[in-house]
Amino acid sequence: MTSLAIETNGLEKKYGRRRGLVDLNLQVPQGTVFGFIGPNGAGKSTTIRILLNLIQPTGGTATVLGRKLGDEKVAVRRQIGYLPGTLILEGRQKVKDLLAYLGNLRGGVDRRVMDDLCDRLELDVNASINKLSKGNKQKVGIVQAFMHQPELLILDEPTSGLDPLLQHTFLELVEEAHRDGRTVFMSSHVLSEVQQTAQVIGVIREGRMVKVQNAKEMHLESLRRVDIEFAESVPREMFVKIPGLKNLNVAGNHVNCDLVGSPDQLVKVAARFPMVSLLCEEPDLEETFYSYYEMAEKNAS
Amino acid sequence: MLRNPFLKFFYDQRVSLLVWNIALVATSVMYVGFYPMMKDQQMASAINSYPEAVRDALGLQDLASPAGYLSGTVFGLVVPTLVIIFAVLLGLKVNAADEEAGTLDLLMSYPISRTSFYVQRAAAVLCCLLDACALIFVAVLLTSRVVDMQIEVDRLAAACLLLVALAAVFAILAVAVSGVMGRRAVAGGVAGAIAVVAYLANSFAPQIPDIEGLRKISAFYYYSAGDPLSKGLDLGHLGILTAAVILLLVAGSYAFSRRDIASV
Ligand SMILES: Nc1ncnc2c1ncn2[C@@H]1O[C@H](COP(=O)(O)OP(=O)(O)O)[C@@H](O)[C@H]1O
Ligand SMILES: [Mg+2]
Repeated sequence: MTSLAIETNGLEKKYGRRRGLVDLNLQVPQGTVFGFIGPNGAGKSTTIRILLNLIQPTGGTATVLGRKLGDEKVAVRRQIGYLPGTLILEGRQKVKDLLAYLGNLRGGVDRRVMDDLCDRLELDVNASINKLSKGNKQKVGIVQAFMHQPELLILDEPTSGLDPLLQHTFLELVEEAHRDGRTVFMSSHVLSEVQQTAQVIGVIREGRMVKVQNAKEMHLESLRRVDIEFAESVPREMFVKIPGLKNLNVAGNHVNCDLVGSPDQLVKVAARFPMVSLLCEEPDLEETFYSYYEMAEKNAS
Repeated sequence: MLRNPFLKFFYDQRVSLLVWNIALVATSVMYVGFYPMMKDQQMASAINSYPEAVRDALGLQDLASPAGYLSGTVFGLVVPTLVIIFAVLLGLKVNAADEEAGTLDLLMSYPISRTSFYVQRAAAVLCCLLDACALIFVAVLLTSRVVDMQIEVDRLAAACLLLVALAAVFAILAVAVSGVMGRRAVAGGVAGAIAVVAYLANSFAPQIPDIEGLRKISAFYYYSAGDPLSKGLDLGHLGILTAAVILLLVAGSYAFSRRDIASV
């Protein structure tokens, strides 16, 4: 049995009368990259802020790196790197001064690691924090989360605000951390963002875990919006038979539908006709979820 | 300056500290500089024509003597008011300002206990007040020599020390309220309102026989009733103000270490 970096049992958080979390059960094995996904407002940040002792749960228990919430808080935080969901940095201070201060709060960090991170993310350490763009602030956030090479990385929507090139660098950092045996717990509201790097994906919706799955299997089930234009009219009957299609609409030489799971059958059928264009896109997570549940209910009945 | 939250506070507040210290010193120097004119009796007699109740309330007795002049002017209303405003504004920087801005979330995920963070910053606020009042002390002392005003150094030091303690009560009151709830408007509003009420209670309660004793719950009473500029330091009064500061700090820190940090 591998030990767990994070474990929660019936975690609950009420904000007055508003729901934060309802009976959240989560298990993150040590050494895995765990993608924590769910639509906005699902409770991802709430979960993360409870794990960091920033807020108190109203019910349930949790263990982080083997210690109960609230036990040896300082010692636990020493081994965690955290990137807040809404990272706010302010002040008339240079990037390097802020990083030096944050490093000192950790009792000093390896300068080489810090400099290397700044280089790779192309962060100008002499710039003033006040004048940084959102993307550059996010880089500072990433540097401070990784700079002490923590045992557990808790990253709340880490790639928001990063351009694609830097997203790539960031994913490399996550992979390196993984190779070193560290645990990475990262949230996102976009499945594809965590799909590449995460081994396990947990889905949260309305304050509960609804699914935990191997990332590769998740890929097969993911929903795509498909839009095909043919050079001639196509028969509807040919498409209706294809498994995994929803909201199918065939109008003359135009076919659009939602595809759940493998595209294999759809592509094979479509290939029999001359195609003009093919568009396949990932819808936002909220839609993905609804289709999951509708499909699941259909299959069950 | 980047070593810990205590030192970082001075670094973060450097500009505002500079401006406030200059303003406080300038105001004190200006007041002491007017002393020769006051001694000429002209203005003094004008003030002496005020009704006694008004003079008492404003602390304007015996303006011709150095001690009377200083306690009526520099240590009377304007400088304490400025120092208290400075103190409360600093107090809001302990956690409320960061919490409202959203910058506290990251800091509180670091391996430092909330109590340590909070107390370190509050200690930095107290040092800023000590520093400001030390500058006022030097400014008043030097200016008094220039305008030939006889004032004893230890009496002046006593008045400055009580000023630190008075300002500290309201600064830490703001800090304590922020400890319970990290909102600047709430903490500043509560501290400011209590300061005004406390001032009024000390100034006007003595003139109404039924509520005369009320002034003893006012921090301003312990600041001025011992008349430090003529009689020196009343350790009891200093002790009461200090105890209030410690009590507020302990209560605020207790609340701060247990509650949710606000998110933006
Ligand atoms: N401080 C708060 N006060 C009241 N409600 C909150 C607060 N923080 C979060 N919520 C509510 O809790 C739910 C979960 O929010 P959050 O954890 O931020 O979701 P996510 O990070 O998944 O987008 C939302 O409905 C949100 O409105
Ligand atoms: Mg969030």
